[in-house]
Amino acid sequence: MRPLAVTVVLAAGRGRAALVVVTTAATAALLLVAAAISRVDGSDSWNGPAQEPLLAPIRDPGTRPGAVLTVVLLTVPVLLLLDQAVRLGSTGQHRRYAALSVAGATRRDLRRWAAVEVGLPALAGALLGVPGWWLLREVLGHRLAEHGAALVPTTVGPGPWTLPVVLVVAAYGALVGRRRGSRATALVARGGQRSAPRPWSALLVLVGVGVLVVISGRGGSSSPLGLTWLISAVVLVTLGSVGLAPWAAHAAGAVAARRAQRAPTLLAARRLHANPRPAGRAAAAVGAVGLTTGVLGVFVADVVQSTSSYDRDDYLVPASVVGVCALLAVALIATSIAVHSVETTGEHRRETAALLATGVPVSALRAAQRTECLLTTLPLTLAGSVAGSLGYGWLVGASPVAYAGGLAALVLVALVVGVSVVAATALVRPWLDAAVDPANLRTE
Amino acid sequence: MIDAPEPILSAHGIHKSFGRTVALRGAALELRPGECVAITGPSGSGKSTLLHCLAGVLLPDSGVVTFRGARLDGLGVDERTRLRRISFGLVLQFGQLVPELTALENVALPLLLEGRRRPDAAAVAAQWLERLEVGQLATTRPTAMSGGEAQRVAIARALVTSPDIVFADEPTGALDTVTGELALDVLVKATRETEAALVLVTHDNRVAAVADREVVLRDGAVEPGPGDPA
Amino acid sequence: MVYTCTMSLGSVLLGVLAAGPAHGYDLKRAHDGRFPAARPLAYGQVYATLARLERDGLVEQVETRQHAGPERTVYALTASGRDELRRWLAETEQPGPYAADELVRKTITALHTGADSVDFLRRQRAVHLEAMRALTRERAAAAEPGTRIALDHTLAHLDADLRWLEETRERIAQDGTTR
Repeated sequence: MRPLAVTVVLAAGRGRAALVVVTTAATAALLLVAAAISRVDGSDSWNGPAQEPLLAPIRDPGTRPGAVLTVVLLTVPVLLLLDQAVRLGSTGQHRRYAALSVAGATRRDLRRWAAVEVGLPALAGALLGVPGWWLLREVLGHRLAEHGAALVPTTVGPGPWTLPVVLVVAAYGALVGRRRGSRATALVARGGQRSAPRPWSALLVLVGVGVLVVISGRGGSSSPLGLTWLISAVVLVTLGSVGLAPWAAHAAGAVAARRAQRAPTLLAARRLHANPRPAGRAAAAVGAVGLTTGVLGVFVADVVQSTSSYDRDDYLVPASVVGVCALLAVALIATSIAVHSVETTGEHRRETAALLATGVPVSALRAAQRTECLLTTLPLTLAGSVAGSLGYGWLVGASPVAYAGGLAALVLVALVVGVSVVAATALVRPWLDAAVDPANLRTE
Repeated sequence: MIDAPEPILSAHGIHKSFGRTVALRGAALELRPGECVAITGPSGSGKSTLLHCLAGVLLPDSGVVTFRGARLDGLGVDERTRLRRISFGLVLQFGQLVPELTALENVALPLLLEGRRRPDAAAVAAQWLERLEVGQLATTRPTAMSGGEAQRVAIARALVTSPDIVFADEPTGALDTVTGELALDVLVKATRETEAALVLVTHDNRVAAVADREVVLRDGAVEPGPGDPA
Repeated sequence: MVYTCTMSLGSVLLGVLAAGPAHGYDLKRAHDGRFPAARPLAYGQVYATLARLERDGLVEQVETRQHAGPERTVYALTASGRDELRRWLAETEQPGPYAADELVRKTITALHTGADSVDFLRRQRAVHLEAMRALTRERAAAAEPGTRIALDHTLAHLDADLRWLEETRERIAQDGTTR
């Protein structure tokens, strides 16, 4: 007989476990890289003892915290994907837990079980993060060091941070699993549905904006106190926007559903309207990426226009690294949305099969899935990108050429979103095809 | 002898297996325009599978299904999908409405797929909901409906394209007797009024008694009628 | 007290009279309307029952009408008639027992004599279903809820017969394979 823990993990599905391992490994590797960067020695990198051929913003102690933050933020889309991965097979989980609770398992047992279901692969993934970090150091450290632009420090590792990182990632996995489990057990207990999201987070945004207005009226943020207020205002606006995202997705779905002229658009909009939370979370992340790319577009165009060719690389290489990371993040988020979409399709596989049986072509269902992903990601990406371009452009007093760079970034990120959505929906196609099987119509 | 009209749908020698399970072994059926036929038989006799083959949801392993003289297996996937959407209506036991869509949108869906404009489609769908006495549910989602209400909406969706044949698989199976009888009355009346043929799969004799005739399925084949040689 | 068949007819007529005084012809029509599946009442039966009810003091003659037709006596419930009706309605009925009727006798005999019982059961199903079809059509046309309910009862019994026929076939088939 297998050990119970292995049985528990396997019951939740191999695909799900594999995705959890991959995402937690990526998270741990990124966090280890961040830890390593933070441990790069020397307050003055030019005279410091550990001369490393690192990329300028990582080497420069003034910008190094920003670099660390960027690497940490890179884990956000990966964690979003983890969150979706944990949802995979939640119908099966619900059924399994219902059976277990009939067999006498308490809600505490079930929550523990759920924590093990995800926590164990998460621990494996977190441990794999160490070789992951090593791999990143080989590729993005040693290889790039030859060009004097290493992204990962080669002389220092994460050191004592390794254990805490591994533990935190594993614990996060267990926590996500446990939360998922209490959702499933709550469903077992109540069989209910969640209510529609409410726009209360708008209050945070309003307060934040109010603070901004007040401090700009008092003559700006030059004083340390003013800076504190400015930062808290930005935090409030950001938190509020993130909290508002599910409501925005819900409302946008309703509006789009009312206006939809074609069946796939209607289906996609209604699905967004009915289940806005995952979409909202992803939209918030994608909005942040859009913002980044918008800023980058103007920044790069500005640099190319105003800097001598000798200095350019100092700015352009880090910018392109951030750009590539942002686009990767978009692709990851698109995948998480596609995974979510296919999961809800799987939950309603009888209804989906019935749609096909009543003459809705699979192509329309695929189109609906693509539209759902695009509806979730595209508007906020574009909005973020425009906001980033205009905001940064205004801040530095950019030239029209620089704004053109922002426009180019907008087009590029829109293209990447489109391609990612098409690729991600193609990736999950086998699951959609399984859901439309007429065998799902059978009741006997 | 009365001149029987040409069958609108006919099936001969239908065989269908799922893995090692043989569901149909040589089933056959002829359906005339506007006729109501009940397919009955013990559970596991292949009733639903036969219905799925007749409705072009499944293609049989061997045997031929023809609708208005055209073989279903000769049609492409898209043509068959369109046939199911336009010429056929399908009513299942439960779980056939899109949970995220309102009743009105569920009923309008086939029309939208046909390229009808949204206001037109919505108007026709609303008429059908009224006709089936569920007009007040237009903006309700299926999760908030009773079983009987959901079945009426499903019937409206099956009939909204004015199909030639409506296929119903245990349409009252998930309902209590009285609600089921009301839903069945509505289904039969509406199909009669639109002159659509109705194929009812059921294990309930009282449902079968609504049909003009009965086809008994046993072990995947049609049992000979009382007058026929065994 | 022994309740005979005519006694329950008496109770049914008391029930019709509860709606208001009526003469014999009205009573027959109301009865036949309420029980469409039963055999229509004969006038003689109606008047004999009324006479007995009158004798027991449960109904009384209230007037004699004569319009264009024959003379008609109008009957009404007495106070004790009303009590009797209430008592009868409150009393539960004996369930069954369903004696072996012709269908059961024939099926079992066929089984014992080794006749082709499967073919018989198949033909019997067709006959039963045809009867159900006729009643279902009748029920669809019926406007009065009472009529529908009465037809439901007959349909439910035919349905029970049909299910019994089906089960019998299954049992014969299983015995055939296990033997």
